[in-house]
Amino acid sequence: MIEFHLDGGTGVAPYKQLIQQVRRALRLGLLSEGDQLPTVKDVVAKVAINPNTVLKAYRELEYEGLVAARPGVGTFVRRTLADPSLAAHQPLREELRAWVAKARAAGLDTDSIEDLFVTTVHTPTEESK
Amino acid sequence: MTRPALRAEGLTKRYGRRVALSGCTLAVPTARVTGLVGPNGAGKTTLLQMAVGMLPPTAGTIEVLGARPASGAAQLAKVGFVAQDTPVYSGLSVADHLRFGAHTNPRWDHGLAQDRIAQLGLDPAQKAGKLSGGQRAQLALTLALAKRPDLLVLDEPVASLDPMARREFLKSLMAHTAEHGTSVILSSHLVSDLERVCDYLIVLVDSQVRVAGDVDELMGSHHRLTGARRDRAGLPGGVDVIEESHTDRQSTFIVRSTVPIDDPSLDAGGLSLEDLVLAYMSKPGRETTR
Amino acid sequence: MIWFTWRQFRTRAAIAVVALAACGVALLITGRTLAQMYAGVASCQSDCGAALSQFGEQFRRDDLFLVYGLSSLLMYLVPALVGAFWGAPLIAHELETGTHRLAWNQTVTRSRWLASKLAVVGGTAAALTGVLGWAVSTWARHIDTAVFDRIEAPNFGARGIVPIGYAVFAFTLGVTCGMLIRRTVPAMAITLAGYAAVVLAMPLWLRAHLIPALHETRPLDLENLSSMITNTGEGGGTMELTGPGMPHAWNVSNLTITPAGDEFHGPPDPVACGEDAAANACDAWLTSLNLREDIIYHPASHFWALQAAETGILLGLAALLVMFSFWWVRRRLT
Repeated sequence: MIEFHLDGGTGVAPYKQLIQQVRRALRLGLLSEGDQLPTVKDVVAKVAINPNTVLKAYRELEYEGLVAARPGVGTFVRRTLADPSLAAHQPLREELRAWVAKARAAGLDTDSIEDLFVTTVHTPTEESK
Repeated sequence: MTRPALRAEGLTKRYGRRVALSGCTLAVPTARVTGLVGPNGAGKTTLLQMAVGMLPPTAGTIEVLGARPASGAAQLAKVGFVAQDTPVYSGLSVADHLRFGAHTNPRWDHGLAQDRIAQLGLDPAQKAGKLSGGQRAQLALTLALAKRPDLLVLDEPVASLDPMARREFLKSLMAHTAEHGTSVILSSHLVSDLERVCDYLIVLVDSQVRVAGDVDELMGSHHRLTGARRDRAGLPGGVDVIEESHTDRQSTFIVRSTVPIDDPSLDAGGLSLEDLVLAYMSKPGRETTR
Repeated sequence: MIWFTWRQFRTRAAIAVVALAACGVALLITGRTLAQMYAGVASCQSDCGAALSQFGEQFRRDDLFLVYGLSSLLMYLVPALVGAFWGAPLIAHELETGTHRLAWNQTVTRSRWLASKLAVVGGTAAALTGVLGWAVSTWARHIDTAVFDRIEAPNFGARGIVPIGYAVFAFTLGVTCGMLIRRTVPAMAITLAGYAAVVLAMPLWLRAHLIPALHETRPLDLENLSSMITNTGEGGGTMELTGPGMPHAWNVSNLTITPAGDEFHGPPDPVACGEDAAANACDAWLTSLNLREDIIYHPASHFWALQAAETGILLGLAALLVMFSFWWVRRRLT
């Protein structure tokens, strides 16, 4: 079962954070088809957030077709976002490690590496939701 | 909207020459957790006490769940209140307080009350005066929740609690609203708490309502615009400036806008709830007539 | 709400009942001694006058006299305690500690809250005062007929139903002060002051006029003057005479008047009452003046009428205070 958390200072709306966390879990294969999402009551009892926030997040996920609500039973995953390219993650990760080592050798600190990476990732194409 | 949880029109409270609330107009929807935020002395306690009928208005009207506050037993049954500093009868035990609630409230849910007391680990025989601050707040909340009100009003309920007690209190409150659909209005001067739990916000500064609305809608319509040094006249139309600051090279505006900002010379970013509240707190209010 | 009021009040009530029981025991024990002392009077068939005065003298010399005094004092003290310790804190303590903000948000209106408190605590105060008053009056019944008159102050305030009136009045005064002042200790002080003022004002100025007093004029009995004060001085001096007054009555005023109706203040006849005068000359001169005793009094038979009137006034004051309290709690109290 997935566990939610809230990042207070990011400026991202709480319901959007929940949606992002569900999508990340789906992408990484932590949630698969048929898995149940925690009930609204369970979520708010563990994380002190507004139940409407959870409802809103679940509703939007349902609208996107990712989950389905079964009245009286719960909310269940309909399909995953498991990237077929999941297999490509491991070699990509190793290439990335090598690149980071090169950047450090060139004298970049962690922040500069992050900035370089973030601007490169975001600039050419807009991240679509 | 359907009947609001709280409706105020031009609500004013004066003590002699001192104005505690001036011309407040609000329509707080039901089934929400509403946060009332503002600096100390802004009038939050005054507004909440008027909502539960502890104070009469000097001018204007206030209606809670469609009726005048404290206008009879039926109205009193619908509204629960936890006052600031959570008063309890220090000579009476926890169990006595529950019995008090059971004897005086027709909707009293004794099972809920006892379950909560057990969950919180409170000893029913303990005198309320010997409880810690956090335990007293939880007892007061239990009494208010077990009354099964339609609207729960909390005045700075977590102000004197340590972070752990604060988080537990909010969790309890949220779990209850999830299960029963109770409307909640709670005041605080800590925005970080409100950010997680509130979906409707009222900012009260210096006896006036500065802004009130759905949190998602407020977050979506407020932006921080940064760009080269300019006057507010240089901003695109349809934009309402809340706060501005300038250096010799750069200008930053916090604005409210219903239309998307598409000026390329401006970088438009989102705002955290705390920044939004602070911007409204620093904005000068309208003139009050005395 | 009744249950809760009782729960808050039960310790105080228990203390009062224990104290009352202790008083009751003391009265029972001393009452037996008193009954023995009175046995002589109880069994006399003829000429009880001598037995009565002997009883009176014996009583005055005994420790029972002290008990008698204390029991009367107690009847004045109890309403003061009720007002200060039961009345003043009733609302003031809730306002001081903020618990009214808890109580007023249960499903009970302010009126019902106040009514419950007034009824439970005030009712108990009245009942306990009544029981104590009955016990003390019963204990002192022989003394009231044989030694001291109960219609005279201070005995009047310690007998009959008047103590209940004072207790109820002091209680409502305490509650009202507590509600207005919002602090227990100052409210207690003001309540005690108000109670003391009324307890003093009533016999001094009001009681005599509650029902019409009787008026008697009769020849002054020079053999049984209650006082004679002579002052010789320049211009002849003064002479104040006071007759014995009506027996077993409260003599509100007792003036010595001349046949013409003027008050007599002397001066003493310089010849008949001078230093060189004969032994009975002054008396003879006084007799020749045909002085009269002009008395305004309430006889013993007025006792219950005065009791009812005074209690009525006290309860009336209490009722006004209660009405004011209800108005205040609903309209003005925050």
